[in-house]
Amino acid sequence: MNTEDFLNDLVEELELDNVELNIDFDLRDLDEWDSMAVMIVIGYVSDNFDCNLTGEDLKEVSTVKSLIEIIGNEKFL
Amino acid sequence: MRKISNIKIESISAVVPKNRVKNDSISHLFTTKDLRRFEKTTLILERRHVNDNTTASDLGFIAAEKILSNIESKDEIGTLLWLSQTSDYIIPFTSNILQDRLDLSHDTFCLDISAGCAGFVQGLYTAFSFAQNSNKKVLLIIGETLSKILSENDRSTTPLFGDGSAAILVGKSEHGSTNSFFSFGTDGSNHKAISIPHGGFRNPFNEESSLNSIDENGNSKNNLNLSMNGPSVFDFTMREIPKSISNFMDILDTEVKDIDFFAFHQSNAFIIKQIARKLNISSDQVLLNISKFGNTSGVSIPLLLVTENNKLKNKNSKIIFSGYGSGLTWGNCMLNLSADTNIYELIEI
Repeated sequence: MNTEDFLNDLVEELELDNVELNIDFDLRDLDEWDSMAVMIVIGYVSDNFDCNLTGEDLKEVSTVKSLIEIIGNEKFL
Repeated sequence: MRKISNIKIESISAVVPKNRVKNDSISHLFTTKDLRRFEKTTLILERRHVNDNTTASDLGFIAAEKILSNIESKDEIGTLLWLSQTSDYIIPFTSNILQDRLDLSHDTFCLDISAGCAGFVQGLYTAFSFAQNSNKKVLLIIGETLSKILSENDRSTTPLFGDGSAAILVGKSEHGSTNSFFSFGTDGSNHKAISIPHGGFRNPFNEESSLNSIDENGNSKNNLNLSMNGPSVFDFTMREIPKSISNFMDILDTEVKDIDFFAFHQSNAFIIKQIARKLNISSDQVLLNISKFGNTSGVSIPLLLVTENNKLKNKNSKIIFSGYGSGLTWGNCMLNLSADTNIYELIEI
């Protein structure tokens, strides 16, 4: 997936308002980054990357870049 | 794999309280946006709660009466199973109380089962096993009033759970061979993931039992409230349940297309959809009613069969039940629900 598309999808999935996401953005700074967000991201990643993350995996996530690394850099253009 | 032959579900009834608790009653737990996200992910829009004076066994009594009023004689019942985590007392057990209230014979074998969200499959396997070893029928009653053990200020539990009860009559199949299959899994190492920490004998009631504490997510509850580590339970479900159903079907040489309906424990719609997606189950094979009742623990699958009966009636259906939750425990069952199964309309009290 194109990284730009991934960022746009995250904004849409997490219903982020007035947030400019980039790969260095720390997701933990979002008010919306809670257990529901974790479920939404796990579902989104599962649907789009054939990759099954766990809540434990998401605990390790800080920046969008770190999320991309967990999903697998090779899956991004 | 456990196989039971020539036993069937004869009747199913379900009862819920009339009192609908809609999401505006839990709005103190969410911002407007969070509530929308909650509804979008879980699909839960309302749940039913009993009043202070009604217990789970009161609901169970009514569910059982519906079935008993439609059989020839109560003497057909040889075994009464009560399955719940919100029983009337610590001592005595509740099945005996129900034996008396339901005016069942003194010869009835009564047994309580403590089980949670996998309870329907656990209870059904127990009922099928007893029915196989007896000439009489087994009445399984499942009831939960989880509303009584929730902290209203804990958003990891209160928005999810509802109250209800179901009764299931199990007996011998008269028409040739019918096979039912069960499989179970247990991970006792995660038993604290869903628990009430105090009030048993490991941590008896003391002055700290009713003290509120606030967790890292701002949820307030005491040690007598239901406590759930949501992310841990979510991980468990995603890790174990698709795999266990897939293995179950492989052993039975059954494919998804061979199954008419999957009745998953109604834990939350997101989890159910994820399980279905991983197993390539189409949405029209998945029964769903969580938006109206929330998670009613072991009651959820029979309640689902009652509310979705329009899809089941007048035909034979090959069904897979899958329950998963506290313990942590999971169980799967594949059986044929025959067209002559009596599934009664939902009772609201």
